[in-house]
Amino acid sequence: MDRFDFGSEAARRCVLAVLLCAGPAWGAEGADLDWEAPDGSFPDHGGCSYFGPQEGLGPFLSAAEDMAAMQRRTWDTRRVLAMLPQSRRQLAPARAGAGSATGACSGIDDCIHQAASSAGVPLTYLTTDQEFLRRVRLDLTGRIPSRDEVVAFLADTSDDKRERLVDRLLDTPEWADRWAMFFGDHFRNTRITAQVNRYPDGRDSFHLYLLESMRENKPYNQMAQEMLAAEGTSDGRTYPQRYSSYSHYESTYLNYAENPVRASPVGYIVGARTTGGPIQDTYDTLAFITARDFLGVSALDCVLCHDGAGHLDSLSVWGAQATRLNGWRLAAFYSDIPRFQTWRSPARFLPNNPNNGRRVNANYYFVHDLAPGRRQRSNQGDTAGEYLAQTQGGNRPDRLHTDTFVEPAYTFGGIPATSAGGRLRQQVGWHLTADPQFARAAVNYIWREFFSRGIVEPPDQFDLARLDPASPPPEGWGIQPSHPELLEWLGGAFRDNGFDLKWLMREITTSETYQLSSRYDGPYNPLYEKHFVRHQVKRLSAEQVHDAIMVASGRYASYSVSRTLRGIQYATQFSDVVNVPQGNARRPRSARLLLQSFTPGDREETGRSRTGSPLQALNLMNNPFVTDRVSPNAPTGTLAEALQLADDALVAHLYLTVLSRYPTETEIAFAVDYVQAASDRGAAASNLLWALFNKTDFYFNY
Amino acid sequence: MSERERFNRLVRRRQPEHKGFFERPHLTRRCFFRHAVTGVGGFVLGQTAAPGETRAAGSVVPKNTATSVIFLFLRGAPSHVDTFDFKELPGVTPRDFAPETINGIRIPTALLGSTARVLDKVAIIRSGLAWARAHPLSQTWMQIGRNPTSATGRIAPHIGSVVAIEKDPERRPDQVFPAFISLQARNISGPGFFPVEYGPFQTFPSQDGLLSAIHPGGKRTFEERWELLHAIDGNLRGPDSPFGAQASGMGGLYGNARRLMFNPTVNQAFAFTDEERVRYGSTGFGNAVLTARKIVQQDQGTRFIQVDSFGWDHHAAIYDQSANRSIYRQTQEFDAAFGALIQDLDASGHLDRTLVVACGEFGRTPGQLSASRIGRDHYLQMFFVLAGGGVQGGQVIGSTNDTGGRGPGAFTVEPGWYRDRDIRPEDIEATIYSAMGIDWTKVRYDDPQERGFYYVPLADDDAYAPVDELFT
Repeated sequence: MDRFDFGSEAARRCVLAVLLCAGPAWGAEGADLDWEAPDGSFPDHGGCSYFGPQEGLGPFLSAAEDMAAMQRRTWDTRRVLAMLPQSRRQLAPARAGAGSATGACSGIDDCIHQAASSAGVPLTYLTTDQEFLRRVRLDLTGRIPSRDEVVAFLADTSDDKRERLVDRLLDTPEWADRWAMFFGDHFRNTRITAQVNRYPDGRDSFHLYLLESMRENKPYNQMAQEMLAAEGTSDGRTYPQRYSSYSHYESTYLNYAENPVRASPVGYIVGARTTGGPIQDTYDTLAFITARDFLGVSALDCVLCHDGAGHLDSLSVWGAQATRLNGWRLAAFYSDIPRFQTWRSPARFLPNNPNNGRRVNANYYFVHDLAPGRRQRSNQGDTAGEYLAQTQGGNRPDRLHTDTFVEPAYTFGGIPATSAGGRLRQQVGWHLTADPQFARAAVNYIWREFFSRGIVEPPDQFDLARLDPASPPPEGWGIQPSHPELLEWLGGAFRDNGFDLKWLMREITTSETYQLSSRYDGPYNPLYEKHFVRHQVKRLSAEQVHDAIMVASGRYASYSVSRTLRGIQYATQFSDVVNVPQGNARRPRSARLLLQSFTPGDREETGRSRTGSPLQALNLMNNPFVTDRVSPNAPTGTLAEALQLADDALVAHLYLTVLSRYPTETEIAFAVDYVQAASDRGAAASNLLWALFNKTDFYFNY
Repeated sequence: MSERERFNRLVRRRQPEHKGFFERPHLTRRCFFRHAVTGVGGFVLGQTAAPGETRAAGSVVPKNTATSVIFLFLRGAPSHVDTFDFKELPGVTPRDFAPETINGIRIPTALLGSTARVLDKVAIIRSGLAWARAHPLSQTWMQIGRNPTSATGRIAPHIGSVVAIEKDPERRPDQVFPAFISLQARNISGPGFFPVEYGPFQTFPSQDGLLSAIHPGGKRTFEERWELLHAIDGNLRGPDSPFGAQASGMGGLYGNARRLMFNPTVNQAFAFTDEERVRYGSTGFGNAVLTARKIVQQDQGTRFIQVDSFGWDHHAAIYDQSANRSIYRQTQEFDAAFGALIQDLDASGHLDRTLVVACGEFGRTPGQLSASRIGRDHYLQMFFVLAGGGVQGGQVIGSTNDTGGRGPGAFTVEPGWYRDRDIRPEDIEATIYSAMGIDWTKVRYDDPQERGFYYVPLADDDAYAPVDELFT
């Protein structure tokens, strides 16, 4: 070890600890098959106070110190790696829970273990530290860990380091970015759909609302209530009653510095606007998206055209009993909203308008409830203020042919339908969030984001009559959730913890179930998937790939998405998945082509997909977004750093930075040979960096 | 009851959706298909869909005259009365439009000069009628062939995705191009509930060849990198990947991608010369149409190509030559590309098997220009232009009445086909399927709603039909 020269004894010991804590050698050499059964723990190396808990996971050394150290360093890899513990962590034997006889369980691991053991499907072992770090970093924050983070995390020898890591990640700004993106998908916040143009300002406003809600860690029930009861302008800006002159208009309407786009949840309501029919179609759409997004019940869409009987009989026990009238009752909660129109810039009517005749491209919607008890008939024949079930034509079959009004009622079961006062849309928010199904659907949607599969799958197709094992569904039907007790427990605990999304994600990511390896010894049947006995790999999402390449190459972009979102670095911070920036002027469309090939969907008719396609391979191999970043000509960023290092350190540097893990002994040996055999060292390093961006363990979150 | 009355009744009765799923067989649950089949690109839809497929009663005989489709989508809604349903209005129509009568068709040759020269190969439908006057709604409507707000509209695939999935069994092993390619699109409809590989392969024309298939460092660098990648990735991407089935797919993924690279066939289809570019107008749209033509000529498995043109929303300054997006500029861009496309396809003998469709999402107000902005606003009456793929050129289907001042007019007076009603986007969808040899009445039962997905809506009631007159 004397060839390490870090200047101080403490630092030296830490580096040793890094390598010792690095966990099993990782790679393709089959070494992992030979490992002996473990003793379940890593050796305690102590003395690494440098990484004491109070330090968190701050940078290992300052960048300059680190660089200087790296330049002086060469790696006696063989000797160091020979000391790595040839062990891996195993699960504690499944607890024989007290309630196992009755099937009751409590907590994620208890429920998963019990179900797996009664199904006779063995669980795999726990994942290594470096695998866990990359996985949880991607899942919670959408980014890969930096090299410093990997080094520091592996050096940390405390027992609770995974828990502390999760806590730290939950408090990063990236966590808010990543989950604002998730909820942007979930609530389908996009600029333009077949039905509605939110305009860039309206979309950004809703995006800011989601982002701020994440930053504040707003309770999820509060979010739902705010979105359903949202009022005001769809861009969150303020407007005077009228403009007295063009300069007045200029100083208010056009002045985005003084009157910026602000966070507003009105975009959720605006997204339900349904044209080409009576206003009841919009109320129905609101009921449908409420049920889909907050209750996981997409079948309401069917029921809003016709009773479920005769249609949904083979699909859903609940659906087969659902009636169109009950759909209208939910829709009736929205009937205080008069038809909302685009409000356009009135500039051209103003005196002294230098742009006379030209419309200024800024538009918004104004959503406002009628006063309670008021009914309004619009010149389009709409009746707002009550849900009139008499319509002809439009987007859904004719409603009734008699002049009947439908009383709002929340009929999803379990909740008294009495109104507690307040505006109708506030009432529906209260009913909804008090419904146990609200918590169930929420935890299931989030669970799926971590495990690639919901406890109810697909997560928007809940059958409310097949959730409770205590009241089994009719003959021929099974219980829908793979783990009904877990769903019930997790939903209940989510509610008891104040609908705290961070609590939920902490509970998930610190569970053994989440920390299972994605490797599996012995035969694996695809049908095991529902038992969660092995972590399912998933390929990086469009934004994750983009951001990972930037972080790992050390070469960042700066994007302007819109008037509001400027100077954005990460794709995870975009407010949309379509109409996103294209790339820089020199490489037009490179970023967009990369993003599109990773199928982010359109937040309207096409959902995000994690499927692989050759187009993704083409982009990783050839898109200038990647190739520019690995180019050996005038290298900067990671490549430039690596080229200053000795061959073995260069290899380790690139592996750590791109794959967030140490290379195995074989990998180092091979790559060092490759670099040394090359006539052009810069080109060789460039090729290696390129190959790492195309490696399977870069492409997947595993 | 006349055909028109029957249709109107049908639409009134079943405006938003269709029934038709009472009769369908009870099927294994979709979720089983979704999850039993895992693996990257391992989803073979033909197998999963087959058990549930039935055909609607009264089987139909598709024309089967085309092997591929080039769909030129003029987004923003072009003015029909200034182009393919030309209406001269003294004092309104600019004098320099230079209208002439060619093959009995009145056409402004200053705008559509190249097109005028190929009119004998082009069929014009003037009795087209859109359903809605909102751009995004109608654009999606046109691409998926149904109401986007209907229940199946929410999950409906693009017409091109239907073509791609239907033609999959005919793909030869040596064909390497994606079945559905989109050139120049900003926001195209997707594969809906179909597997993502039947969605549009979105790229942009590039003189050097297929974007993302050209390795910027050149072939030698690429070969070295490719070799290095496979040496260091080891078995992670192989059939025994420790990460399971998904990761095992990586090898195939990269293999398919590799076949598109340094491939003379790909270069011949996607790269083009300055000379070719100029012939097609030297515009982004022209380059894309040129690329589309070359893709079709390569016969590499591509069945549907969409090329988008933007800027037809002429609310203001439609006749203002100096305006950036006047009708002059727009038609110039379209005309050069369209004329060259038809000529070249014809010269190479590919026109017979290539159906070219050009249209917007609706039309524009006829008569006087709007007083406030000197433009034309949204209007339901529209044109469809078709050529090749068995379509009889030189004919005009349907006619509209004249229009005086601003206001109604240019309505269909003679539909010009056996259904005796306006021709709807759904009819054009059926026409495309028929020409491609696809049964447009087909229903598939692998849709997520399990209600049965009709390729053309209301097929069980025979609501829409191919415009057979085009082929006679």
